[in-house]
Amino acid sequence: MSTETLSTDHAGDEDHHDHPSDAQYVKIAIILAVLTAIEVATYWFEDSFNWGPILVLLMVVKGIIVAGYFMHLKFDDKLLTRIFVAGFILACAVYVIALSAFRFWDNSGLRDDYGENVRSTPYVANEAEEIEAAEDHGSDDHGSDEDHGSEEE
Amino acid sequence: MAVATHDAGHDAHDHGAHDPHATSTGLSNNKLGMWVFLGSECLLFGGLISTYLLYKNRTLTGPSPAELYDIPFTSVTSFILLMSSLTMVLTLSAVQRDDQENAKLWMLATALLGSTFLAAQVYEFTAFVREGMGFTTSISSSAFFTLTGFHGVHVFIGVLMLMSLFVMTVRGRIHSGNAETVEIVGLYWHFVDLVWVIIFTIIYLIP
Amino acid sequence: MALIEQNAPLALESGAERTVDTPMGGFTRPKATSTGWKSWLTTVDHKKIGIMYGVAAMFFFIVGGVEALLLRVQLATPNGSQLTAELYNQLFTMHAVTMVFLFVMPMAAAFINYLLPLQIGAADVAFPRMNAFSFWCWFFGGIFLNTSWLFGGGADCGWFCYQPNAGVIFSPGYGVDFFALGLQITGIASLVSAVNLIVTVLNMRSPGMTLMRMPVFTWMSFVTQVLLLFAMPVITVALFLLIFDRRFGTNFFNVGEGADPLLWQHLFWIFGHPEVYIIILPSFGIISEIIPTFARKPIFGYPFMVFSGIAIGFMGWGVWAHHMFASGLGPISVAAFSVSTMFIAVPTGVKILNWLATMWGAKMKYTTAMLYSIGTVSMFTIGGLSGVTHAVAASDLQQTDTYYIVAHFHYVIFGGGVLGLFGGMYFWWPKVFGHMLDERWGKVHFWTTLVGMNLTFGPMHVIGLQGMSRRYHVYDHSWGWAINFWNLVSTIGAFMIAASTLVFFANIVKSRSRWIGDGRPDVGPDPWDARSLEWMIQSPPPEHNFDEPPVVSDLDEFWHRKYGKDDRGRYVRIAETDEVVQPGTGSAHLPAPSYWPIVLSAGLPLIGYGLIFNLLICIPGALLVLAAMYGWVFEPPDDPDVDDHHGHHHDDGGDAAADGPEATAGDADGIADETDEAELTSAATGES
Repeated sequence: MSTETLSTDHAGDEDHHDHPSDAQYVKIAIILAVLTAIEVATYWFEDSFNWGPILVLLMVVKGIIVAGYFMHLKFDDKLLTRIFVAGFILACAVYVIALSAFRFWDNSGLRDDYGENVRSTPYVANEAEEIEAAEDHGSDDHGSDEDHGSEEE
Repeated sequence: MAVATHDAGHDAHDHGAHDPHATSTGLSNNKLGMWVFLGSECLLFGGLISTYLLYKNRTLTGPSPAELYDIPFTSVTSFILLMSSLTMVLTLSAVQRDDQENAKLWMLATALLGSTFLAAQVYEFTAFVREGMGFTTSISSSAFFTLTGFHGVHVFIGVLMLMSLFVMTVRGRIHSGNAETVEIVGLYWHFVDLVWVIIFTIIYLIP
Repeated sequence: MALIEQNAPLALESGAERTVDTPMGGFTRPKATSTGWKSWLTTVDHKKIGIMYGVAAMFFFIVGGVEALLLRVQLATPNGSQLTAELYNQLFTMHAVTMVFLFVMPMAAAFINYLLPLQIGAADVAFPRMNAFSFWCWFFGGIFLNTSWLFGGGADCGWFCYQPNAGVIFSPGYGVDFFALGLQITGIASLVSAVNLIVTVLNMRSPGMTLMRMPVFTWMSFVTQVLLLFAMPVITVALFLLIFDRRFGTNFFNVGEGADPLLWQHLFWIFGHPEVYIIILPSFGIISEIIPTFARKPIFGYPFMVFSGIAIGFMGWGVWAHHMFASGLGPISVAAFSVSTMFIAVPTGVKILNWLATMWGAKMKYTTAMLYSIGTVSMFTIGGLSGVTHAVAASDLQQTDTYYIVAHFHYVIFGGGVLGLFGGMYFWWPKVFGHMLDERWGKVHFWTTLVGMNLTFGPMHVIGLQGMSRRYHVYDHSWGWAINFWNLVSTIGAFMIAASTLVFFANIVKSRSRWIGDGRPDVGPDPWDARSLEWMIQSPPPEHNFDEPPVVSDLDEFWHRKYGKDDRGRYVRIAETDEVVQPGTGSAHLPAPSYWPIVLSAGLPLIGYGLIFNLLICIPGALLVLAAMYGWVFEPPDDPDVDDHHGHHHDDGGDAAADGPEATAGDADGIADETDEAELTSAATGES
């Protein structure tokens, strides 16, 4: 089955006619820009709503548009799509499984047994004392002064 | 079978001497090779993104990356990189119809947009360092700089290739006959953009 | 640099004057007609590159073997005192790294490089210069890795280099840095060669050679390359994190900073388990060529053979955590990976069944190659069965990090991988070198190897189940007679393997000198009455491989040209071999040799040394890499001696991608190479 599709003749030659025109490319770019604007807009909305799935959906749509139109996958030999999608899906699969093994999804990355390592108070920027205070705090909790020393190496 | 008659068919009614040596798939080696390579790149960036996701909240010292993100600023740079993909396809389209002037224009525009993105990234990095988050401050900062740094290196290589292409175009050596060279650089460029689409959403926007 | 790069190549591309002799300052393409050692440095011929892979891999086999012998000497008697604990750690690490990355993989690459283009009827691989680059990059990476002995000792972290044990605190020497950077460099080689060979298989098949007519060896090589393609970036990420930890003060694996060392284990084994199949699948492919030839039957269930290979490749991505059952993954992960691991035994079993069915009822010829193939099937089955015991997580917890594991993977890698590779050498030696290896010596080699390996690794099952951990540098009298006795047996077996390897080298020398003494008689293109296309050309093959691309209409095309059905439907000889084979008189346009692959590769170890000792050393390395890349991209398509019989193609720019017939044959690389390698190498240089 796959051999049939592999041997498509003239794949490269005839595709040029199907490619979008410059005007269409601009339109596609506008769509992408709008999608990006929607994504960014969620940043200013209430945090109480979980935008994650919607953002991921928008990301996927953007990705498909870039790969499909700008990278011509929609117009090219399907073999190319298969190769790329194989890599992409494989990457998603193994890394999602690996993160699952870390129980990453349990608490959006905040593992219970690491919860104590995570500062609960927001960081105040540009104040050296605060930084040092935070460092001391961390050291006190975990007695890890020696480990800070190893940073220099 | 199609394969068996492939050579003969091509030679008989195609453009003779300039017919690329018929390959089994009809795709050129270079283009296929680039796509194969990009498939492999998915695993590279997947690993880096996963490392960041795993470590993003593990900040013993200094600020965590998420606390320092300047979303409006990064949105603008993301938009710039996205638009560089548009100028890249316009480059290819101009090269394919032998429109040298526009090809040069769009090529330069793409390289400039890419450089702007890089400059913005350098600015972002220095700002983060000023605010107390260096490469080794915490594992979350290391993971952040590693991921975005790898992406930045990819953009940098893309800019180098675009500049090389630009010089070649100025010398009149890029034209519709070898537009595939531009297309392949374009594939790489769009991929780097695609990775940023993912990074921007997963790393920056999703809290 | 930049001035040279931009002026010279552009000047040379200005149409008709392109044949000026020195387009790149001192550099042109080397002359294709050159001979002697220089021709090997610049060659882009896949056959020569294959031979170089083989020779270099054999060199590293000796290195790794001597390391193994030292280990076994230390363990021959209780409380051995020949090696210190530190040196012992370094030796077992370097033994493993050398054998896996510098012997088995490149030896498989030798076969793949040499045979894959021949088996699909191609003139060369898709990107000949990238092929040469892969070899040199791997070779320099291997040398780089082993120079760690000169700078305070090799890596001492075990081949999987678990964290935080491999951090600077526990492993302060340079060994682990050499490990990380050396594997990074050889990884670039593997990735480039994976891209190259995948494109070769997809794009360079001769007319009629559909995917399902490709020989099983080609199929298994293809699956191997796909695995490499996707596995290499994962280890790249892990090694970068390791290098950053060790050299730039990050804490990716520092528990004190909240890191999770299991991240390393996951990344390593996501790469590491496909790596196991990368090691074993080429050997499966080799014996799938040998067994049908000497069983005088087509391979049983060819589609099942192919699809089980693909299934192994695919499922190999879902079992990695069975290496980590003892790490506290949690019951769900352990159960899931336990089940998936048991499932992967199914396609492997299908393969074993098919080999057995191929041999079933056959009139077999027990040549050395065939003996090795049978040895591979049986030894791999033993290793596979002990592997299934690891899939049972509860039992695995007892076996983890004992000699039982060592026994298992040596049965798989040595019994399954190396025996198959040796079988391949006996099988294809006449094709590659034009003369047979002596069969009597070969059989001595086989039996001593087989007995030796069982003496070495068989007792390790017992030693392990008796509770001896791997990586102990001493054991004591008081551990019981079993551990004491079987360790001695194992050492004796190791020396038997060493002796058998000497027999092999003696066989090479003796067979060759006898052949020369006899006046170099022609071995003929097809000494085994074999089945696939590489036997349809002369031995050794002419430089251009095929006079014209063979038009393929069958699986085992060559055999079907020799044998056809008579009126009763039985296969009978329909043509003499000499009528079928190509005389080797044609002259296809060959890709010209190139300096740049070796120049480009030479820059990478410099960058490696720079990252370890002084970042300043990176600068010449990076400049060399960059200059070589530009030199590569703007290199003229041919050396100046070649007649300009296709000159009109160059009107449209020499380095362009779709440039004319030689685009695929010789100079297809163009900018795409720059992309690949620029990306990869900058991955290595970028952080400097």
